Amino acid sequence: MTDVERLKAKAAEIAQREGAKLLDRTPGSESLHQRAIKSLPNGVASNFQAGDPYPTYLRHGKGSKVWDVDGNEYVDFHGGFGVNVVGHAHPKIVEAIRAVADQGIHFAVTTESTVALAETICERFQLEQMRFVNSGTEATMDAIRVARAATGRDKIVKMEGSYHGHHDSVLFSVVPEADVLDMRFNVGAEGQAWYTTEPTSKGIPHVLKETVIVVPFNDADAVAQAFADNRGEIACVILEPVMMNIGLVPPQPGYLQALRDVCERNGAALIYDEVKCGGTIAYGGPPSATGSSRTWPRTPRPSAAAPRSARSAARRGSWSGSPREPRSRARSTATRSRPRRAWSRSPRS
Amino acid sequence: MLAEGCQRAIDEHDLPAHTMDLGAKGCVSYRKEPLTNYRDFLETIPELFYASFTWMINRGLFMTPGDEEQWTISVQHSEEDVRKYVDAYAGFCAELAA
Repeated sequence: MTDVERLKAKAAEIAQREGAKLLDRTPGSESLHQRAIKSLPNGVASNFQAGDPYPTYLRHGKGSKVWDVDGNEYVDFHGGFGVNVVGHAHPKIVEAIRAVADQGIHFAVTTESTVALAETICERFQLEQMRFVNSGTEATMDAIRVARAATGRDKIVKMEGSYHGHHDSVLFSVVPEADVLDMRFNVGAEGQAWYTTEPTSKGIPHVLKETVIVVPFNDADAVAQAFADNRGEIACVILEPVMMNIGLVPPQPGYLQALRDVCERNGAALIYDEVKCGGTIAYGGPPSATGSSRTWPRTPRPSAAAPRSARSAARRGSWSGSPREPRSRARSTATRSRPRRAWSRSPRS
Repeated sequence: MLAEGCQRAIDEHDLPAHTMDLGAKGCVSYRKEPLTNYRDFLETIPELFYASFTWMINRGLFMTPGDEEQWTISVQHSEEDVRKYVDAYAGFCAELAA
């Protein structure tokens, strides 16, 4: 038995023993799961929250702690995937919420508070302008649309195994298994450093696969080759500057600058998805991160990275076809094929 | 402090893993060498993460539920919170290596 096989066997033993303990002390979560699956797919509000046989349902949080529906206390290192970097029920936030709760919270009209917050965010992240959106999915969707509108091109470049939300343009190569990696779906010649692949989710038009070019992270040459092989067709390159769909992988020195250069040479936008690796890394996001030998070129984020014509297009609203959002938005019915994640999830093959 | 503590436990038991952190985020990846891209990630050993998840949650530590995710340390976390994590993780590493 190799060391790895021995470790896997020991890990299975631990998981079985500890998993049984977990089930024993979370009957409330099991009960709530039985109720939840009647109204929510998988019994959760997002597939990322699903568990097998059921997730641990929380009741409340305060400070660094959370409590589950059985009353068990935990120190929270989940942090809402990074959203809760200020912890739970921080006194200043509680005070701010209470201060506005009786003054109305939604008007579909811009308020002074909206402007003040935008000013603060622009200063913090060194942006010319910003747009509030409801989720990371909406942010990357809009950024890509702006890039396409500004360039008049359809193709995008994304990183292998990266996640940028669940809109149609980016649900390619999110968690590909080893047998679909490499050049299996390559449409080009041998040795080509980029490829196209099938959608990650059902419900995505297959024609879109021709618009999504996949390259490995930290491989600037692959991006350069994609531009060379698709001359005048690529609207943008989108990536997390610190890749976080696979743990935490920093960019190698010079990588981001190389992407910036190739995008500029080809008139394409460079889009940084900082949904997870923004304010949690440093006050001003990745470009202001210090303390390592990594180089952080002053690469602007989506709004500023796009050519000026893109910012103009965004202001006119022409990129969405209308200066107003449609009144009725279709509900997302996409079914993510990402494996259910829990302590007993099947390992990758 | 958290990443260093976890790395010490990994090193003590010579496990095929490493820590990586930046700002408030960090993680343990179950491969000895640092990752540079998704193909490296496929060489990690997810079984070790999932065992650690059950071990930690039973010791009062709520973690992200996948080996592709990271921990987040909030402004309200204390050194005692971090020590609790490191101590529990050291126990896991010792158990795994036993």
